[in-house]
Amino acid sequence: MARKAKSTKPKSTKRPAAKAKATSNTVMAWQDDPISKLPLIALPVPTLAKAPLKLRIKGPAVKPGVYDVGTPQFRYWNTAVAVRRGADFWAPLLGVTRWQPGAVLPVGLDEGKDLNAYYDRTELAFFHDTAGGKTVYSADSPDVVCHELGHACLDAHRPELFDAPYIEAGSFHESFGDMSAILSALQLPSVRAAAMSGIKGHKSSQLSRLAEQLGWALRQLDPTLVNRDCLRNAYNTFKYVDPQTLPDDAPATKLCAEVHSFSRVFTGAFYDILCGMLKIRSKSPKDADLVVVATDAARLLMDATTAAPVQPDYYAQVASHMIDADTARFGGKYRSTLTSTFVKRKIVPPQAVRALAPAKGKAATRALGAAAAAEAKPPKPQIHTVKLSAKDLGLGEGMLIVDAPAEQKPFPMASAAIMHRNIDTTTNVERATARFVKMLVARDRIEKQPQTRSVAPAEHGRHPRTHALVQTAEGMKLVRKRFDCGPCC
Amino acid sequence: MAKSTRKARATKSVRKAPTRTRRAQTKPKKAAAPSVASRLPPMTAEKAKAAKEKFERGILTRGEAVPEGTRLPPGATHEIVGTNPDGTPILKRKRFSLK
Repeated sequence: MARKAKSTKPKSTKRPAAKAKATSNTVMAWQDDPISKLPLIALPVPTLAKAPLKLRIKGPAVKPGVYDVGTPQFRYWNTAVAVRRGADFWAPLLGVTRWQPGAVLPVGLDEGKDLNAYYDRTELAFFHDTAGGKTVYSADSPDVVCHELGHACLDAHRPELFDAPYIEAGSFHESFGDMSAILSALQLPSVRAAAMSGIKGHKSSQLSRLAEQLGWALRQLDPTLVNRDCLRNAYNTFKYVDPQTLPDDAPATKLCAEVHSFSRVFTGAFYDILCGMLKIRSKSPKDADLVVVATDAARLLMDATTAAPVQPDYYAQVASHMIDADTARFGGKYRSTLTSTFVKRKIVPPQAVRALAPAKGKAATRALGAAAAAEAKPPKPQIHTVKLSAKDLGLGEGMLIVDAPAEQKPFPMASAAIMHRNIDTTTNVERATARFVKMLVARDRIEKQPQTRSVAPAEHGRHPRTHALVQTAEGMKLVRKRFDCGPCC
Repeated sequence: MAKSTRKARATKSVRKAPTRTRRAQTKPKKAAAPSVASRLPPMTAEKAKAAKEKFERGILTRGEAVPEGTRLPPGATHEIVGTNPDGTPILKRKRFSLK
């Protein structure tokens, strides 16, 4: 017992920053957590106001420099590099240019007494408190910072999840925070080097252990609150159980229907998948392979969260859409690890992936394709004319007409999204259309000058504009002009 | 050397590229794999209602919700913004917490 306490006490935060190498263009920062055993490193001074996902630390700006660990100045730059690293990783994948709170996301470094951190749609808020005779600041841990940033990123990408009244939706938000901490940490070459053996060997590592220091502090107050070596560990064996059957509260060693506790099921699956993806990519993986795998895993998460309907079985929805996204985006390259992990963790029922299991080799793929074609009934296409306020979208005055085709799948094959009775199809189509048009506006993919159908849209920078506004007898109409299959679409 | 290269080129050009129709006949079209998402058990209104009730009960049991306008204490994430006709409180998320 005494040995454990000795090994986990956060001594390392006493290290003076002056010992590490730094120049005038660099600042010092922790790599993933003050007590993860990874030393301080010098990193380039980040630009918080960098578009598209701009950030601002509340209070007076601190001049870049080398400051002692534990000082507010050190905390400022330690948080700045972490939050910038996370936002730079997610920005190209999210497909958004704004946070939910606005163009700039404020960050409060020390908002008072609490061993916690929050994202509340106005800011990221970090706190401090004393435990075991030591004052711990949550902003000192890049793991914590990138977890909270993950909430803000997912909220920008999928705002419907914020107030979804389901345990699995809230738990996924928490899991996404932890996955964001893992993926953001992997953007540092030194973290990749340290994490490689853990991922290759599929074991607990600095990477899988989230927020060691805050976990230590909470353990001083109540050892049952958190993991024995961190706040939460992505290397775990928790399997999916219907949260309806779980107690509302339980010690950290057990699973319960509380969102942080239940998040460990999905995060555990994600860590398993990350290890599996690296093995698939290379039998002797190098640093570059880990970079690719981290980005591929994030892309699958983005694709899945875009497509998965927000409903009680959200874990199964995201997991199954990740498998489908892998088929669509990577030709099923990571299918074996995705399906085996999600089935082993009981997140996806085996019958849902049974048709995919024998799909190895060309003959099997052909047979599978033929079977799917025979099973699939032709969908019933319906055109919904959706009218949106052009002014709200910044596209001029009056109404914007969008023809939205909707396909209704026959009952046995209908996705759970369509089976969700709370929202009728028309409302779904209208929401989806509004969301799609907003996305087009945000990405500047609409040729804004009304024109005749025969005129092709002008090229615009790297990506051509895919849609145009056409003046028709009914009014101003949005029409697709082309598909852009560039690498960033 | 140059001669042999020309010869090789000439041989290559003799080969006829298969026409679009022929290619279509010989190579079966790759069909998309069935969607895993579409094979999940359907969600029902009853299940959704029960899931919502369980979620809200947990929030209230753990003291994670406070009346609207009250400063959120440590760990609280929701506000009680009203009451349903059946007397149950209406919850609204105000923030996500790290733990």
